[in-house]
Amino acid sequence: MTNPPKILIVEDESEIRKFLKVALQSNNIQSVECDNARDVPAQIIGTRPDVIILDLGLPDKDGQELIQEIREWSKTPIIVLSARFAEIEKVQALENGADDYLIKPFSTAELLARIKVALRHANNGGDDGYLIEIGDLQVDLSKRQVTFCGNEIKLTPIEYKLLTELGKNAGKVITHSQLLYAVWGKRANLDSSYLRIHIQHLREKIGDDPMNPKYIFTIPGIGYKTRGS
Amino acid sequence: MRLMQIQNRTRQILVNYSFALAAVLVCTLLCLPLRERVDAISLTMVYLAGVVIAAARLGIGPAIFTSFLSVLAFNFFFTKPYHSFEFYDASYYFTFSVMLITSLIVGSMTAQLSRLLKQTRDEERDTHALYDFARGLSELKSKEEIIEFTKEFVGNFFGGKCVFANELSNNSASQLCDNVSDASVIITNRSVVADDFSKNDIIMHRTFAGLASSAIARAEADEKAALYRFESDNEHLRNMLLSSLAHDLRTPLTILNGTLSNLFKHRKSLPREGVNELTSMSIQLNRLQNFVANSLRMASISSGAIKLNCETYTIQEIIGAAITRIEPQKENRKILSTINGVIPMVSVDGALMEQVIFNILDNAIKHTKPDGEIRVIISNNVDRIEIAIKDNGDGLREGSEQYIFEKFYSDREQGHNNSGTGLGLAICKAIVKAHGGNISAKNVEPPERGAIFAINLPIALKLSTESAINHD
Repeated sequence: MTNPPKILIVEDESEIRKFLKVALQSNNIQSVECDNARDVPAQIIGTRPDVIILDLGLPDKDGQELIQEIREWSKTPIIVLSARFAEIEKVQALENGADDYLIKPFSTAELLARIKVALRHANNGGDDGYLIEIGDLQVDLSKRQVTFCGNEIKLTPIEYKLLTELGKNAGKVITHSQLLYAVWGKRANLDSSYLRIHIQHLREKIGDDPMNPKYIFTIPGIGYKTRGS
Repeated sequence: MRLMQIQNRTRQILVNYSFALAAVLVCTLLCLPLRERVDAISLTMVYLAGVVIAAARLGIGPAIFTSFLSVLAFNFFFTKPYHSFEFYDASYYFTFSVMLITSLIVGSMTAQLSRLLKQTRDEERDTHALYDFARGLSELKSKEEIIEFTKEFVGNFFGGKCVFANELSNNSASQLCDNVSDASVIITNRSVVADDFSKNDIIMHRTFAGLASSAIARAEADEKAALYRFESDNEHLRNMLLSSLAHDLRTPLTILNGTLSNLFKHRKSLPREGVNELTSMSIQLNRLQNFVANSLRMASISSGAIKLNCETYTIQEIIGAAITRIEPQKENRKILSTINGVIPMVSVDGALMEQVIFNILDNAIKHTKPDGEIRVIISNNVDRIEIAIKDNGDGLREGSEQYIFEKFYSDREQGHNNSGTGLGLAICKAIVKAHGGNISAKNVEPPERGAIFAINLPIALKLSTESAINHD
């Protein structure tokens, strides 16, 4: 990473843009600002940001719609900032293609952590190699093998798919329906309770206590995530 | 009851025949003075007129009766010898026959004609009435107006009393018909009428009932639609208000928070007092943030702007999520867990239930020493699961168990730690109640110290792990 990463801040409140810029600068991150939805496509094409920080409440367009539009042609990670705190808004944003969601007011440290996760995903370009590490767990995609400290753990095909899907997106929240779709494919109009039961079994096998999780984290009302290594 | 109606009808028949008799008498009295002056054959015309009048007024039976009676009266009074049924002139056989046949034919035809005329008039009246009724109904909006209008209109039409069945039970409707003559009762889609209604009247009555009930159904649908529109407008308004409130409160907080954390970066170049002040600002800001978040949660729950989005969860993962979230706040406190038996899955709104557990843990952390211990105990209690959160802090103040879940009731022990908003536990109660569960608090039995918060939730569906796994 020779060039400092560049971030596009889409936010109509100038004060928020101002402090974000300062916070990013002190972490050696460059930023570009935009205060409306109309200019976003041109900004993305012109400045080629590594990550987009997007406020959902823009004056000229609903943020949810804007995410969908961007996703039609760009894969740049999007971190949503919003004052809307209903879970349904988060799920919708994630399913529209946002990578992360932060509720205002958020802590700068939290935002920086999320930006780092997004940057890592952006730099990988979606290709994680053949090895996924989730804490002490290692998933070898080429051998379809899961090991814990060198000992192999036998998983069913569904459990394996669940684990790899979560592992590939480490640090990112995957919604229930995204997981159902990734694992079961098109016939994914299954109840989310199926998902939960398989997750429960997966947790038992990899030794993850749901009351005190190390690998798989439940995000109630939204989905699951694994912590980035 | 029936007997009275039969008596009524018999009386009517007797009256009709009496009139027929009277008609013959009148004809006879009219003809008597002319007996010597006018040809007897001509007088038969007077009797014929009597038959026609009787037929038109009294119907076919009395008309036939009048015909026979006329022939007898003519024979008795106007053929020689008078005042006897004998006669000298044999040609009277012919006169009597012609008279009888003519009067029978004329009488029956007249009776039929007059019946047809009456029927046509009735039909016209019915058509008009139905038209007026339908038009009247179409102008009315509310169910009450329609009922009022129907009662008056139908009552007037039949000259009786109209009662709506939803004001009466079915039984008492029939009873009413039995007791009050001419009472007609409308039942939605079906009508009950008094026994003396004619076939035509019953048909009319059913038509009225049908029209009224479809008008009522329309009015009810309209009312429902209006109510729904009102409710959805209301809900929309509440959501709009809450989201603009959320935006207006959260935006300045975000800016303050961000600016303050930027300032913290420069703490090395600030004097010591400056850093202390920044720290105190940051603590207060945190408190304000909690308060805003809790108030908005509370407002959205109590205004009904939030609908439960229930999904099946194992309660362990929800508790796990809350424990993970509270991690940065717990310092050296231990959070332990005990699971008693097999815990079935529950159907809850995951995000809200996590908030409940989080708030109780938060409360426990605030009321325990930094090296305190918090234990989460999950048990299966027949058709409910119970989550108990027990701490070894200073416990609840005597008598505060009932008030602790009230809005703005702050602090278990005044002055100890003044960082509560007084909303955290009220939110818990609102959420748990919305799930059909219960929440309560009490102190641990002495000699131990501390508080126990217990939540119990209904088990929504008994989904066995095995059956779901075997499914795919």
